Amino acid sequence: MTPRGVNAPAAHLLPPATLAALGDLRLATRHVVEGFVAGLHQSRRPGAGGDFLQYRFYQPGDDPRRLDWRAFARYVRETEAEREVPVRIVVDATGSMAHEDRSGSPAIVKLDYARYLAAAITWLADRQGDRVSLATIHDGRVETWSGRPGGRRTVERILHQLSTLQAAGGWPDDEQLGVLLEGAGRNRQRQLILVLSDLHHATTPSDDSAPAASRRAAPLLQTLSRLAAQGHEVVVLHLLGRDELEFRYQGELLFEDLETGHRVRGNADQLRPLYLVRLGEDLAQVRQQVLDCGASYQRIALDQPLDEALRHFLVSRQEAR
Amino acid sequence: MSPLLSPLLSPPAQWGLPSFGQPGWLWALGALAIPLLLHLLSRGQRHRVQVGSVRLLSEVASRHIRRIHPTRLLLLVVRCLLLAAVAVTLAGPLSPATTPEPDETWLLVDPALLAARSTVGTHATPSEAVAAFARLDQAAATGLPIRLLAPDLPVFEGKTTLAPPPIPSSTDLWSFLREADHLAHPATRFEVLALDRLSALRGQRPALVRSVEWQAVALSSIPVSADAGVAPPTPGPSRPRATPLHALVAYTSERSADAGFVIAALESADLAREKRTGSTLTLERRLLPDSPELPRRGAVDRSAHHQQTDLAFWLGRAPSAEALRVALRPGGQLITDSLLPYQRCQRLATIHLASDSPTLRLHRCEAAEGGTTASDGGEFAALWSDAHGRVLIATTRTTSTHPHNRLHLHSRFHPAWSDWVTRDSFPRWIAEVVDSIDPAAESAARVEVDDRPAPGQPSPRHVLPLADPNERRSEPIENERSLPPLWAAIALLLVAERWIALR
Repeated sequence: MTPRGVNAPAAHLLPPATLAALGDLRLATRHVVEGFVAGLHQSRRPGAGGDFLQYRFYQPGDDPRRLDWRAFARYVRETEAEREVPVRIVVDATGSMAHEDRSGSPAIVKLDYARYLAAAITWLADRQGDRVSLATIHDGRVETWSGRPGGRRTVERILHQLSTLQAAGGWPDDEQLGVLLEGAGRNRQRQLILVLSDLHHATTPSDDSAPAASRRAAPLLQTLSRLAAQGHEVVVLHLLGRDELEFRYQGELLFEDLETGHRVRGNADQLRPLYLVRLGEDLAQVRQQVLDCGASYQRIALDQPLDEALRHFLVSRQEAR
Repeated sequence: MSPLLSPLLSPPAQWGLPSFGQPGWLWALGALAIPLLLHLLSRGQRHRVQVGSVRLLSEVASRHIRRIHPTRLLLLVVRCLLLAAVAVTLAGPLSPATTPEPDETWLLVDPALLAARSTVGTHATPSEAVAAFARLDQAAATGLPIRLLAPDLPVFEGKTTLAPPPIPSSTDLWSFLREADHLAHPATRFEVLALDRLSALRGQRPALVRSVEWQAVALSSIPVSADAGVAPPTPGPSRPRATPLHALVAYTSERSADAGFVIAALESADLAREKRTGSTLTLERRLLPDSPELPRRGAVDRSAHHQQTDLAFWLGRAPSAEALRVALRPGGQLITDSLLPYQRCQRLATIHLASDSPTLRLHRCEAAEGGTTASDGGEFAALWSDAHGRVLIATTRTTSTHPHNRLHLHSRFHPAWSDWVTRDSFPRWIAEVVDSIDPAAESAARVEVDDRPAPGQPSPRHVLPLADPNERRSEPIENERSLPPLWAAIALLLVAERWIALR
């Protein structure tokens, strides 16, 4: 999973809404992955274990093919052995993920986008031989599924869980989120932890009325901090609809919170200017909070093609390394 | 008028609210429901949108609503005020020109009464007239303005025992009363002193928004001197009294109101004529039976007429020839009017008889009602036409065995059909008619012929207009007085509405 400068042809950039229209997670994921892989083949792929690490003296028992004859035939070219990187995908399936972005045609539900993105990553990781596990957050609890690397049934189980996932409920408390820590700390191997979420109600303190000094950070941010402190690579993929980013609503509307059920009346045209200013401030704050946790942050709009989003994620991850 | 709106349109005096010239437009106030309904519906029918979180929205809305919500209410109020202002403006509010004290009293006096006071003879004055004159003197002593029932309601400031200024006498007291009614504060009381010409209007008096105390003085109760009259007295030798003419007003019971106007005008005309010609009229009222058939022989009692009638107003079904022969002397003047509403007499044709006199035009009524024209075989000539060329009065001279002059009014002698009977031109016209049949009259009045040109031709002169074109009308003047500030308010409200809506 170390692509460089990958650029997929436009023909492979399938709109997420089109993938959603397929209705088949496996088929949609294959489209995404094939588009992604087609982009990979256009670049030079160094291959696993090809990176030069150091020279050392030949010792009996070494494979003679590894001798570097240009270096006096005394040195063995030692390359970095390919190391397994377990991938853990955390999918937010709280109520707010049922938000339907109607800015495009056809509309797409936020959870569907997360579903396809998680499936594509699962497929890619499995194809590369990495261990993949899935954690879902909904109804105030965390559920995990894991499997052996290369195990066919592992991918099947994860895809099945993804396809049957329903958005409901709110964020779990500290105790429930501790499941994520347990899963990551079971062996001391460094993991890649991907969090796919809209971060609604996740980054705000549980007690808004408390003074700022005594206010505790949100449970999710605390968990991310602990995971990063354990040496894991944590990446937050922030999913937002275009109508959320640009507030494309019009007229007198009654806004209803999918997670809490709270309602707000207002004229969208009149609220828009103030809302966009406030949204910009809020997104910057959320990004900073995530970065402060030691995690990476990437914002993905729901009208962005899945393979393109995937590629941008991988490129930014490589650059970060 | 709707009973719902009647308290508003005719408010009690203590309210001090304005009246309206076109109160029907107040129904347009119902349009106020439109913005109110739109406002309520826009609140109730909001489209529901499900979003991931309303945290930011609630923050924004709480700040925004504090700023926007009062603006919406203000916009609603301004729009309602705008509609109300338009409706009230169209209704024509008539604000009182003056704001007197609520207990003020206006003393309105018939100029003819003052004129009669100035010419009172030495005979004993009846108590009815004494009371009226005492009221005049009391008002003059206490400084209460005496307003004359004349154009512009002038205040009479001279001595009440002297003649009033030369204001033409008028029977058009109704319009002056209505004008005073509009000008005065709703709480002002009216006290009207007038000759008993008003008695003929009893029961027909205009409905005013205030209480009116009437004090009518019978003409016969004022002992007039030889030069007494309604018109302003002019010096000149008194004329010998000639043979009185006999005037008959025959009417059916359903036409008693019409007869009242005719008799009032006859009395007024008689007063004016008496000073000029010295002759007087003997007036006889006769109630005709209400039979649907034409009056038969004997309907007019021959024995009751020791003298034949010189002038007869026949207000009822067309008189039979026998009735006319009994009632009217040969060569007498018969005046009839239409039994039908004026609008029914529309089928008129214009013909030009006198080719050598382009100013003379005759009209033939082809749909003469009741056979009154066809049976007589007379030829109608239009005397007066209205501004549209429609015949109001036609005349004919019969050639039958009982010749007489006949004038036919294509309307009725009632204000509901024609305002003419309440104008001063009506008794003047009667005086002219009487003069024309009075051999003793030195200057027999000549009824002028309508010589208005056909449409498109230049008018050589204006003849006998039914209504004075310069006559002052109270309502338009009142409207003009109150409209400018209202239109200015509408303009301001319109600007405010646009400013708030587009802000």
